[in-house]
Amino acid sequence: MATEIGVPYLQGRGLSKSFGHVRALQAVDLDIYQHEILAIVGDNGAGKSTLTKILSGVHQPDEGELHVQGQPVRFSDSHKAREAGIATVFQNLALVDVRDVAQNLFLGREPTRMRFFVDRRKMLEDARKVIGDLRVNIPSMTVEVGQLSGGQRQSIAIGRATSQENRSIIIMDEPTAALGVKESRKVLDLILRLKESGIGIVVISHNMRHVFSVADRILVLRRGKLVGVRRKTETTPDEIVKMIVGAEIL
Amino acid sequence: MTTDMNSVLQGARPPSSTSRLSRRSWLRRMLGRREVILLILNIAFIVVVSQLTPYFLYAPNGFANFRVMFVGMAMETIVLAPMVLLLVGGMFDLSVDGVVNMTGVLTGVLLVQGVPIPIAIVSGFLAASAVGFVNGFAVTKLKMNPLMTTLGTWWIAQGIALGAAQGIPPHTFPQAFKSLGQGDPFGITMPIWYAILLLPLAIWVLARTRFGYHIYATGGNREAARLHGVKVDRVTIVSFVLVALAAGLAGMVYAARLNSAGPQTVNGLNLRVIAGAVIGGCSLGGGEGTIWGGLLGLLFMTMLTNASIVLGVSPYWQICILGIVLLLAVGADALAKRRVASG
Ligand SMILES: Nc1ncnc2c1ncn2[C@@H]1O[C@H](COP(=O)(O)OP(=O)(O)O)[C@@H](O)[C@H]1O
Ligand SMILES: [Mg+2]
Repeated sequence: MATEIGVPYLQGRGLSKSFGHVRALQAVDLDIYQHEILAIVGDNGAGKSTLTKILSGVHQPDEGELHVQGQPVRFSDSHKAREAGIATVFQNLALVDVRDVAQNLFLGREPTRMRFFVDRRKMLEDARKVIGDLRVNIPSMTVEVGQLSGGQRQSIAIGRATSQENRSIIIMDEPTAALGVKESRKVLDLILRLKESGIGIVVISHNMRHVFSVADRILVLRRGKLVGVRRKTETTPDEIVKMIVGAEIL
Repeated sequence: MTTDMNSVLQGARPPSSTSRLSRRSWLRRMLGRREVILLILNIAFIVVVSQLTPYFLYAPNGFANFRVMFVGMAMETIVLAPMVLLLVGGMFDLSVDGVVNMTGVLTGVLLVQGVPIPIAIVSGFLAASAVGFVNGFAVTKLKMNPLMTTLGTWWIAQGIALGAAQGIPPHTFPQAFKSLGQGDPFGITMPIWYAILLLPLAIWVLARTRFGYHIYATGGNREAARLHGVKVDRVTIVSFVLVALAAGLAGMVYAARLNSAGPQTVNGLNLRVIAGAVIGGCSLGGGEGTIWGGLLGLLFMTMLTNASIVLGVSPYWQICILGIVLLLAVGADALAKRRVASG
């Protein structure tokens, strides 16, 4: 199994984040390697999304640091994280329903001419390519995404991430949460294929079956704290569930 | 690398393919567009009312009524253009009337005290943009409610206008300043010039630039836009400042036209502009609307008022009719949304 080879592409050390009185994340360490799938699990409110938002530059940690290929970095916004090769599929997809497919695929990174003007033609061409590569059936790039089905919307959110040039790490926050069995399977297959191509994947899921079918390592969070990291080959769903809910309960 | 998700991540909706179907849906989409409906409505209105009375269109002398109406409307489009940007971005500003009056009075006071015209104008714009910045900052960084915030700044600006005028509006301005409102280069009066310059600029900013795309995204789903790196607070603050700058410009142009800056020069312009924009398809929830739509909505309202006057409808009924039209527009929106939600 190709896992934990060489230097981690992305490292977090002592990451902490509070929202007012809520300590969403406390001193969490993690290593993300290319060519590997890291699953992050934990109860609702455990801090999984907060962690992904720190890794993708949406939030800045109150404490702790990030390293990309061994170099310390600061992601002051999500553009910086994107430039560092990190692509993210956010929880609940983060789509603008009243805008069309092309605009959603390139929201925040619109192709431009002379910096200010959106190159609409290039945007539409690139959008067709992205959707074509995913072999997803979306009839038009100019239809509002609010009119599409759950699976189509999901594929747009994923297409955003996979189409990012330079992506070395793709983070997916609950990518299968709103999908049926068959659609979920397709997303998991895609995750495995992305790994084969050398990309590092961080995937968040509540579904143990999904986690165990794709992950190389599993990181468990509970109430903002790191409980532990296990290699899939050296643990069981039982142990992971115990780590999620807290051993003292059992 | 092939990122092939096969075709399972696809919709429940069958692929629409036949050209006949797509042509019909194109026609339906055109007729479903607010701008198209309003254009037809406006033309029909002109045709019908000019049958009822010649004074609407051409009597007593060549389109005089229409010209006066357009000049009045041009003044309002100065504010309409950035207001559409703000509304599309999901925000709202009540302070415009106050800012128009305040800027007119402040600039006027400086002028009658002999301050050079450029300095008086720049000071006016600074005062106006300060109000816009306060609005934007309060609403984004302090997360204050836009309605109440801009009601507050409206009263503050209006109070400043009244206080600075001290009961005697500044008047009798230098000729060069008056020409900013009264001049007519190439035979076109100044308010029309402002409209000719500002409206295409706004159309182009909203439809073609990155900033315009980000305005739509911010209004459509603020959180999603933020996650994808759109500087949503900056979008909002800039939009508020643009509205305030436009209000300031309007204030100075009114002062120049009237050669006097009354603290109550405008009263109700703000709500008329917002109503026009909403009739034109700007949703108050944000994310939807165009300058064209806003312009056609404002035109419809303006013609309605004007036709009521020409036809001798009492002023009480005039405002009543406007209210009904606004309710119909908002109601049509709600109905369309419900149909989409349940369909
Ligand atoms: N923007 C925010 N403002 C305030 N509290 C937040 C915010 N984001 C997350 N939280 C809180 O932080 C905790 C962790 O949330 P989250 O990271 O979304 O958990 P998870 O994704 O594991 O369900 C929760 O208690 C949540 O309410
Ligand atoms: Mg979450």
